[in-house]
Amino acid sequence: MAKMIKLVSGDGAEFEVEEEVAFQSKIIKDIVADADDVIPLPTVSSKVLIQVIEYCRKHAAVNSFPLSPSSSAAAAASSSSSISYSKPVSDPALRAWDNEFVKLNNSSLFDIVIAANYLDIEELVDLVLETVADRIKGKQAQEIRRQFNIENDFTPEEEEALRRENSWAFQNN
Amino acid sequence: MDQSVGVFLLTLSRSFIIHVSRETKIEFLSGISDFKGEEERIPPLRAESMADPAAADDDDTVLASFLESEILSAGLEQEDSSEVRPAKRVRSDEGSSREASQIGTGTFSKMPPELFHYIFKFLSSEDLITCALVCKYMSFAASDESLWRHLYCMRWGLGCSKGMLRQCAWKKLYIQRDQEDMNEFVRNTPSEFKEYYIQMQAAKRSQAPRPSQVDDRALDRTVAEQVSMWKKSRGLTDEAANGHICSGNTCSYSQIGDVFICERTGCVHVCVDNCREAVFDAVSGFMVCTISGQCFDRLLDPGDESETLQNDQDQQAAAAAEEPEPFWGSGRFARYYMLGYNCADEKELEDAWQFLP
Repeated sequence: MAKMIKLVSGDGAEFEVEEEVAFQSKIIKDIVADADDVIPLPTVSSKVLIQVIEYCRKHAAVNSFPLSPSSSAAAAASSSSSISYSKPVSDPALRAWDNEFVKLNNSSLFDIVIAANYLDIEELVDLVLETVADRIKGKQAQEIRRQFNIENDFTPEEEEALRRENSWAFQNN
Repeated sequence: MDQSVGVFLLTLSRSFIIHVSRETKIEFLSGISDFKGEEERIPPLRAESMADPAAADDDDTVLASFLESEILSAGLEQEDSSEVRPAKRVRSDEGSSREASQIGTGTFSKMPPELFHYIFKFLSSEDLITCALVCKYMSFAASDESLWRHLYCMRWGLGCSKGMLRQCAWKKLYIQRDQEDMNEFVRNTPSEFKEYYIQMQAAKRSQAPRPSQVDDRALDRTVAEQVSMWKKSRGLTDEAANGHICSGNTCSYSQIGDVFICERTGCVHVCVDNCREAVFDAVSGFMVCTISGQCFDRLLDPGDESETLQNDQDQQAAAAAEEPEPFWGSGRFARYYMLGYNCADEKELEDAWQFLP
């Protein structure tokens, strides 16, 4: 019988998860090593915690039941390391799952990444931040502002000066 | 767990009130260039801002960020408490003072600065410039020197000696060199190709760092140099070893970027699209590289399949004829173990650590 860990969200909801799922989070791994099996997470709401658990569950499953010996080497490599160097996920099926997982609005994504950062789940942090970066790439400043609801706090003169300063990047000649 | 202590200290610090005179500021700022703190927390120090009174506001930002980072690293004593200087660029209608070190509006407002910075690591120079136009916080964050250093080195390698590394204004350098390159191209190419070359050059600006390049540790050397150094540290030469057939099942590997080095002989495998070591895995339907574990789509026709299987069998037979490594296999744990096992002393082990994936 797999060992269960209990996670308690900020709004008091309790979630029981298998140890290997919870251990995708390095913080949880450390805490459990010291003492408790009940881990309060006051800064994480239920909604976000559910999503994070879903991610961890999927990635824990992939790591324990690899498709082939060589993908297990890559998978084991990315999960057992304690050095903070993250590798891109090499299994295409998992990558496809990840891409579906991050089809969320920006606000939800940010909630997830903040929780993942707090729980120290490196792969999830990378995944979300890369997704956000993709949403920024290739866009004009105004589009970026619209996407993320950012207010333009430059005065027209400042903006004009900035454009001039950086015109090298927009030159075609 | 340091994070939570840091946050607590930070919260404390923000409730203290700090007043620093302008003279003290200038003295303090001129001391920053010697400061060897973590790059990510120290914003770029532009030389102009010290001399130019109009840009004095930038000093506030620098000061605020620096103090914040000091507190987070639990280094400094608190300054005397008096009036807080509110973060500059605060809108006058806003009652509370906004932190200079966090973006104020929009979805990003809940994002802590270090994550923000991490996002920028994925962006090309073109995108960074665009971001600098979005709002003031992003302008500040997108000018961070470490980002530009990375982009510079990605594009041109390291031309300068190590001593110069920390002191360059990388963003300026990047822009300058890009302009020089462009001018040279325009001057030297025949007119019919000019347009084409200009586009090629412009495309370089929109090259974003790949995810595996986002980590900074490999920054200071090209991969080839690293591989060479790794081999030297293990006593292996650059020539290929005879009679040794590398395979994912028998050898353990050290990884540097896309390059996998056999730890026994120093044979190098570069894992790129459809690398030669990939074998067909019937379960997944992909070609899987036995060395790196990377999966590729299968491009062979069914007719070639029997040939590939035959090759696999030959390869496996040859590999089996060699003495297999102990149980550990080729996973990361195994590599660490073998690395340590083969080192003569602690110094060697420490040198080798830097090449570990």
